[in-house]
Amino acid sequence: MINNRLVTVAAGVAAAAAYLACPAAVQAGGQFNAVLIASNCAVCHGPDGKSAGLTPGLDKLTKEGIADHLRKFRSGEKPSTIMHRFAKGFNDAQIDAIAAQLGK
Amino acid sequence: MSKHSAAKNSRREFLHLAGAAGVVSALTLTSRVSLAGSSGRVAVVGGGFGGATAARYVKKFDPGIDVTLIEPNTKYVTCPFSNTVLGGMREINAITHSYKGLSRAGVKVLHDSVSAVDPVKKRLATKGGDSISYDRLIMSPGIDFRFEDIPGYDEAAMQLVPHAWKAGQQTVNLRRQLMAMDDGGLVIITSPNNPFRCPPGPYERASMIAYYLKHNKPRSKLLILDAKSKFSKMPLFLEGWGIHYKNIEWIAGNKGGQVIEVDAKNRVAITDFDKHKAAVFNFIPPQKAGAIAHSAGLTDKSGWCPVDFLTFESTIHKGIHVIGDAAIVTGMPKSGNAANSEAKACAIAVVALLKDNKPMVPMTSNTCYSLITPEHGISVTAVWTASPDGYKKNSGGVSPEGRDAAFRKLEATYARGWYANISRDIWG
Repeated sequence: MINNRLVTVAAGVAAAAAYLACPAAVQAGGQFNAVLIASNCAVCHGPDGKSAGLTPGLDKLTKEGIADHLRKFRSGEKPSTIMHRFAKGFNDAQIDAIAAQLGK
Repeated sequence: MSKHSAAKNSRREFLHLAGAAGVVSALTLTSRVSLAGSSGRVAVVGGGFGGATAARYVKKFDPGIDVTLIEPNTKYVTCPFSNTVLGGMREINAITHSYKGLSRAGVKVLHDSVSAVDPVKKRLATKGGDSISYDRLIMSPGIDFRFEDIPGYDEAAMQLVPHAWKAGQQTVNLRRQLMAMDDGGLVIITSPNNPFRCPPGPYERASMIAYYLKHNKPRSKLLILDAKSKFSKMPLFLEGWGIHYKNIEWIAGNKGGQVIEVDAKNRVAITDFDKHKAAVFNFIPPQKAGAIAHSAGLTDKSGWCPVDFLTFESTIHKGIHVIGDAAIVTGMPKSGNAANSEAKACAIAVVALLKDNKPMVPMTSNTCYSLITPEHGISVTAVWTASPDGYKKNSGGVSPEGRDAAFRKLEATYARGWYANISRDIWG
């Protein structure tokens, strides 16, 4: 949780500066907002990771478990229908920050 | 006045004392920010995918903010999955949602229409006679139709030739016409030029209606008259139609598919080259931002609303944010899921701005499923990061071509799971 907060704070400062000053820096990983992107997971996995069924819920998974899944989706080690297409959008720090928001 | 100043002072003091922790509390879901007292007033206009999400998430990100959602209807019928109603797989009630969940989440829901917006005094008036002051206004007006571009198509013609591109009574109308049609009758669907709401929607609709025809009216055919020469998920739709349907014909824009006039009384679609007479005619008109966006002066020459990509604040009127289909969000499609993601990014920005904090660079995402049959699903996804030029794609793409029936079935199952969960995320 502390790590995650540090990521979020650093991200906020870097983000605003990057957006205003340097378009190239916007593509860098530093400005990541874990709360925002984790909220986007709700559309398939349910609010707070509690799924209504048909898609897997996330609420029983640990932070480490979610990060591991995302890395394996990203590398292709774990096959998926759509998750690899999402996971490739995030670097390691971002995956850990998302997992910290969603996991137990 | 004095009360407002006091609140603002204490908020500043709190931020000063708390330092970086103040930034954190705005972004994590703690209630600490509410220690500073009332955090401001946010009005949200429109209770669809964009507006209802924005109202809920502003409240979730900062429970101290007073959030009022203004929406004329007491029930919302979703466009996503309305094609399954046309195909006979779902009843309209299964895609209809109330606003009780938003009320339970602490959002004040006002069922009324906005009659005027005053961006200078930061106030809006409703038809019911209320006057609502706000610190930040979020508008999610959805779409309206460019009747002016299509001779013969207007509010009256809509009953004979439904668009069904805003779900509800129009969806039920089109479904009834399909059921009443004789076996052997021709169904025509038109698809407009970009940009329009739900780019794969017309082709999913064609699939769902073709499914109904195949099983109930086997002598009938479906004709798609398209203003465009290519469309969203095109290879996947063509692959799916090749497997399941012999009753769909698609005419591209460069082969005479663009409809330039409608003869509603006779259900005739008129193109540059031809006239096509339908038994059931579903005309999906060219589109622009919803009417309230125009009357509030939020649109540019394109008919859509220009916004700052970081905050979704209108570049025309400060203090008013525009999200969803009505907004020009370069790089992102006009979809319900995109509106939901834009709403969350906008909510975080609004919470930051109300605390005089600099907004962050948002990342957004979209998952868009289409059904070709109830057991054949396909998808397109993306993750984006905001930039000064628009939303740049980090990753994403469409389902692979050439996969087996089990893979398509899994995507169809996940499509239903997506619908159930995004509905709960917004209206639950």
